[in-house]
Amino acid sequence: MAKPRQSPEWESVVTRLVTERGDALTRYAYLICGSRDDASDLVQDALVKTFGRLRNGHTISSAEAYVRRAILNTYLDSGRRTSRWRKIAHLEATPEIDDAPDGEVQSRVDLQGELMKLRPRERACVVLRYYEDLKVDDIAQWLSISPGAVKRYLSDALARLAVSLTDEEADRA
Amino acid sequence: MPDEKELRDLLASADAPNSLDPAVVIRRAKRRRLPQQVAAGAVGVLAVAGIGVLAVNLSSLSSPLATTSDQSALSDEAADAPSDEFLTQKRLGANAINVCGAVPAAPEPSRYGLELTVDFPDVAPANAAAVDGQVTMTNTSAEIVSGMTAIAPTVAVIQDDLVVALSGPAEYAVQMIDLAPGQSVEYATSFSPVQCSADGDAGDNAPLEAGDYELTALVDFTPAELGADEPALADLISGPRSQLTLQ
Repeated sequence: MAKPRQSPEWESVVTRLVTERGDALTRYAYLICGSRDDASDLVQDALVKTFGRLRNGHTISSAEAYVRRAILNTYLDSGRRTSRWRKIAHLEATPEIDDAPDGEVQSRVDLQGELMKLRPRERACVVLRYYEDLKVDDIAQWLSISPGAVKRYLSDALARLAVSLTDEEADRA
Repeated sequence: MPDEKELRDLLASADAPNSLDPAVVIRRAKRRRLPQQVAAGAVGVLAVAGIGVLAVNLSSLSSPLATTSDQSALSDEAADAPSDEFLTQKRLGANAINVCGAVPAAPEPSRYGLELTVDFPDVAPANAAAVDGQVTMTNTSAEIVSGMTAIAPTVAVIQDDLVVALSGPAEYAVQMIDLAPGQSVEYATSFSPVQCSADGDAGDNAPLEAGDYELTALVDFTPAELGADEPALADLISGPRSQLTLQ
């Protein structure tokens, strides 16, 4: 006779992952895609892509690793990477921070705005290096590019951030 | 000029609203999984058929339930997921279990409460080109059972507790089923009343002699979803034997 059906294992992993790690995944997606509005959608798409396959035996941490990778690939492979972020980046700046007299806060806003204007792969490299704390070789593996390309993206991104900020500070002066 | 620490601090302090709903994710993932299961099943049926041919050719098989293994895989659709785990067929497929000249497999209870009933005429002419009948699969459980099977079960003709004839070559198409408790699905099938041979070729073999025979059927059932504690194996569905007289 048939036994009472339980929820498949993968469903409970999804539920736990979203409950316990949803905030972290959304923050990561936000850094990758640069849009607070799109971050949850991106995570959801990545979860569906990851769990919409015949796979069991995931722990929360192994599932999270897959989802993070799916977030990155989904973003880089999709039309989301159009320069939407760069077009709206200035709208994402928080107004009250613009008025803050604190130089450190102002600098942070500048940095955030410039970060979001980076090209998708540059920003991905920056996020993976300075947020995920991955080594260059690991980033290269994640993005399926050479370590040299990763170094180039990082170098260009940091230079762009520095140059942009320097120019803006010069303008303000 | 930002330094690395500033950059790390900025990234660590990022925040975004989390509007994730696990129910939505599960619903969308289920929709995505079903076609893959159907495809995996079709590949499995083909693979099992291959094993079946091999099993028939290797007539030295001592037990019709001798185990083997096969793992099917489909092409990767997304680069983010490095591996797939499909239902693993750790035994012969239903169309290869009953081997000509061997003792037929004993019926075993289905994990899902599915049962086959063989319904052929009580009497059929021994010289007929084919004997037509049907096999009915009934959900005897108290749960809805969803999944897929081959398009027709394999029928074995038995005399003196040995398989003497088998239904025709395996159909590789699959059929989706969705059975409420007590509900049935019928499969049309037929067999040639000709003595089978171990090499699987009944073309030049002698017609079955007039007399009393028994019929039994087997089919693999692949569930649409696996429960947490269910083995990743297709369920072998069988049922009681029925009687047939050739004259």
